[in-house]
Amino acid sequence: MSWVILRKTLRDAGLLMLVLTLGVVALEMAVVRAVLELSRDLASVQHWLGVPLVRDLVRIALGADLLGDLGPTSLATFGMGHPLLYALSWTLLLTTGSGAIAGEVDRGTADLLLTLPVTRRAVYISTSLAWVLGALLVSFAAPLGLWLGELVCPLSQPLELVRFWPVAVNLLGLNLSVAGLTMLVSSLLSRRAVAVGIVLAALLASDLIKFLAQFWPAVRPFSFLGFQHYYRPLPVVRSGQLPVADLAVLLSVALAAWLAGLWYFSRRDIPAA
Amino acid sequence: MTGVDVVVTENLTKLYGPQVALQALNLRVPAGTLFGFLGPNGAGKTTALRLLLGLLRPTAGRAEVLGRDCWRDGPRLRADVGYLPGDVRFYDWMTGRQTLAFLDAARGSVAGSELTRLVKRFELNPDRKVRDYSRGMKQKLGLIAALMHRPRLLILDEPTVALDPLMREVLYAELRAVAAEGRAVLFSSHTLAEVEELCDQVAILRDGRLIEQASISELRRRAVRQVEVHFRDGQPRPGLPPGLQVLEQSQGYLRGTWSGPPGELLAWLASCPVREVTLAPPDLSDLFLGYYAEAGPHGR
Repeated sequence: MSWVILRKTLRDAGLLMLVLTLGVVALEMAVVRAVLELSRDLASVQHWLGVPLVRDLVRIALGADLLGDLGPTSLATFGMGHPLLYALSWTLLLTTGSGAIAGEVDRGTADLLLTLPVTRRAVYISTSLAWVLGALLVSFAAPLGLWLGELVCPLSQPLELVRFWPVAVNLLGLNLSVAGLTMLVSSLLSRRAVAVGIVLAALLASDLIKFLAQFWPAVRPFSFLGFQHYYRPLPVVRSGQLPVADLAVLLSVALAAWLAGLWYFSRRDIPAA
Repeated sequence: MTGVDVVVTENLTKLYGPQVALQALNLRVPAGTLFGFLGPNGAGKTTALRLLLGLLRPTAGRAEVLGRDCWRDGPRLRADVGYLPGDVRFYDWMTGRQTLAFLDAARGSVAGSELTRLVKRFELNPDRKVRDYSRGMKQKLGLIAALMHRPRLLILDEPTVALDPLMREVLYAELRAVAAEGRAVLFSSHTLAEVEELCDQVAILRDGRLIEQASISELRRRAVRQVEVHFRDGQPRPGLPPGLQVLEQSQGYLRGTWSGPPGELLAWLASCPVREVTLAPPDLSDLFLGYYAEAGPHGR
């Protein structure tokens, strides 16, 4: 572990981290405002949720059927499964994760870092801590945004915010597994754009599996392969409990990918820029 | 510490798949020397330097720097090594000062006043962003970064690229001072005159193989001199000494090259009716270019 390299990485990614974390907060505040609007016309919401396609899409996004429970807490769960939340979180994780190894080799600065009197393991751990911090920020910015949204825009029936913290932990697990995969791919390659492309393709494939499994029974047996299979915000909000099994899978994937990346990075050649 | 080898490689080999980048390199760099690493493009110079720094893993053989294995003890040995890559890159969002502070902090803040001295010596403006630096400014920043912790071994890949002639002289002076303190400098270069002027020893690589390692004085002894003689008469000259290679001969005129000690040539000239003679100093360029151009996959 090198504090100097960690500080450098945080300075490099700090602005992006701040902007994207604020973006998540703003998204969740907007969701609370939308919940206020929807609460005024629940009959219409109920009508739309009765349409089978809409109902299926909501099930894909939230991991459970929303119909029959249209309280503000359930409606606000949209903020924890919205595609923009994934986009903001994964932009940060892909940027910092791919920048750590493939990015350094790609821009030629790996020679600077790896000719310092620090081990490759220290470089890997220090740069990893930067995206762990980023994952923590964007994951917990979501319930923070809901809380701020409710302060700015009080609802007739208050949100049960305590139910969102286990979802944030579940989201953190999802984000760490994405970041772990990014570190692995980044360690294997020397071109940052290729690393980002591969991880993005894996995430889109994961999303596609989740989508197809909802409509196509033949795909359902493979839905366990997708990251989002282990992130279902609505059931977690309803139970108020940590989804231990899902978290175990996500954290195992994160750790295995991270360790595989460390193993390879410690042994690989660093080509000249 | 003169007399100790700071770099020792034994059968150091690097393959990229079936392609041989470096083949069984046996190299010794003594402390207190300026050691030139020569060879045409693709000869394996940069590969050898990157193996010494632990950036590449040897396929076979071993390399030691300052008594430590380059791959296994990399972090500890790099505390005593300064490195300038051939294509030096920095974080372009940092200023020069921030870059040097970052690198110094990562080395345990050992640079102290040496950093300030080098910034002045190389006339670097450290308060501009690296992205606004010219190629020459980046090169100066890289040289300061390599020198500032007073390493026992400096590894420089094409250090004078993009430097103006004045800065080259500054660099030469710094490198001579480094060697005079008993530290060593290993640098690769394409500029033969630079190597000839600066180095105590050279190694010449071609096609991934070491084809020569010798001191500059030894190479000078082997190098040929250009000879031009005008005779007072137009008679042909029989009994030419064996070291004289005639390139052009006409009535009263001879041009050629001489290899070996000049005494024998001078003795022969004294026996001839010479009107004018020009004997140039030994030219290493011809010798180097001869090494570069020699045919055959196994060199000499």
